[in-house]
Amino acid sequence: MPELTSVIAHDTLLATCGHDADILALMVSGILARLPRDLGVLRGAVGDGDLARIREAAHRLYGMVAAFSTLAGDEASAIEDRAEQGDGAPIEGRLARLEAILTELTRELPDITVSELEARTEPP
Amino acid sequence: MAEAPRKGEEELLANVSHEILTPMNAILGMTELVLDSTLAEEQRRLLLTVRSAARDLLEILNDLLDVSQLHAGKLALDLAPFGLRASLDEIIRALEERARRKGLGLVYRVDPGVPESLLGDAGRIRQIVLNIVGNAVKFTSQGEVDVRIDLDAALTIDRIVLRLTVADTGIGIDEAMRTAIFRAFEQEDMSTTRRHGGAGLGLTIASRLATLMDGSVELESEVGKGSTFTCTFVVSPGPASGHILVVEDNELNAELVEQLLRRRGYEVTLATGGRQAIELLAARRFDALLLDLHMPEVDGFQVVRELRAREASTGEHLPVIALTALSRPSDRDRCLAAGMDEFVSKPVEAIALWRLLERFVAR
Repeated sequence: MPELTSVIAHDTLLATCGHDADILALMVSGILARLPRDLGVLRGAVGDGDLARIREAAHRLYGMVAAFSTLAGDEASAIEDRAEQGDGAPIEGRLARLEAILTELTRELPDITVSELEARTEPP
Repeated sequence: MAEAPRKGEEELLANVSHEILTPMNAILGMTELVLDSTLAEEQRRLLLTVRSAARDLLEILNDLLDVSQLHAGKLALDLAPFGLRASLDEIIRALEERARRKGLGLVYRVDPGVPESLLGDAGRIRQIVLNIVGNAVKFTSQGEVDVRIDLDAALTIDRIVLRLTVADTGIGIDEAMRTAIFRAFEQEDMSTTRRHGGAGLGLTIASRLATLMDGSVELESEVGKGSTFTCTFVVSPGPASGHILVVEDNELNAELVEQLLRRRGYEVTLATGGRQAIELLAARRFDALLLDLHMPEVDGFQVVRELRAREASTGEHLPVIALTALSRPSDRDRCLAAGMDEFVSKPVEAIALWRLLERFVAR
């Protein structure tokens, strides 16, 4: 069975929190508290096929998740781009991928520590 | 048990050095007093020689005391806020003068990325610089000594590594002596000591002090061509000051940036939209503006347009740093053309943000 790859962008998260455990804890508790609401807003906009709202919600989600996961940030950014271009067709598939990544992210994040991030990041 | 005699020797050395320091300071002080009085030319010449010899002796005694304290693990760093450039200015000028008298060039540069405000033991950092650069000047008879201080790495928000690089065109050090040169009481050979003076303790002290500051001293050298000493040491960024307006409609990002700035000592005011930002900018004075570009209703570009229009009549200029998910070079150009001073892509890195603010917020 292949080893499961983490969806966390360890180096980005470490740089964003500045190797500081308190800041990391603030970030993790902040995203875990806000993610269900913001993801729900995007899901609702996709369900309504409202491209302006999709774009706004995806942009908002990107701003929140990019520090934690490049994979999630890329998906949110791609949804925003598609909505901006008026191309709604691929958005549902993208949203499904984003939700899967964010499910895994919320599973991994509660256990993350600065030491683990440092251990999984190239030294400066 | 084998350590005991060595430890006893170190304690004796420390005690004796300390006991000698008091009369030495008296000799120097009294000599200065006599030099201030009316003297015959010959008397003045002789006393100047006494003063010079006493200063050399005092330097050796201080070095001996430092080595014994470092060996015994009794030397503690005295941490306090200091400005690196100002702190090194005087000794660099003295070293430049020393180099000039030998017909040498001395090139000195502190990288702009090195924060001005630091927390560390300024006296011991000066000692490291003095010992390593002084050694390079001493053992170089022609050419130049190149001194650089760079930011080696930012380890955490509380710890940064500075790197001092000193390259000379001196006599060089052969492979066998490269380890010994950092050991007390060993110089390359006795003829070197006789020709150049000194007790050979400077590099030992610099190396031990660097270790005490979680750093090291490395040496690359080629006999006859010169040496390059690379010394690293860890300091903390000093407390920053200034009032920053952060405009960010994403709650989590706003909270993160606020905490990062407060940790560095900045005062922070948050605005959650462009309209509120414009009102705050009209009502209060800030030292910098961190501005999210993508906001509903009034976006970052409109905030900057209104700000710069108002500044046109006052001649003021508030540094504006754009915070944005955009990352293409053309996005940066668009921000600069709109009147912003710098551009940071999200996610914002803590240390990069601080370094940027240090550049823009007046000290």
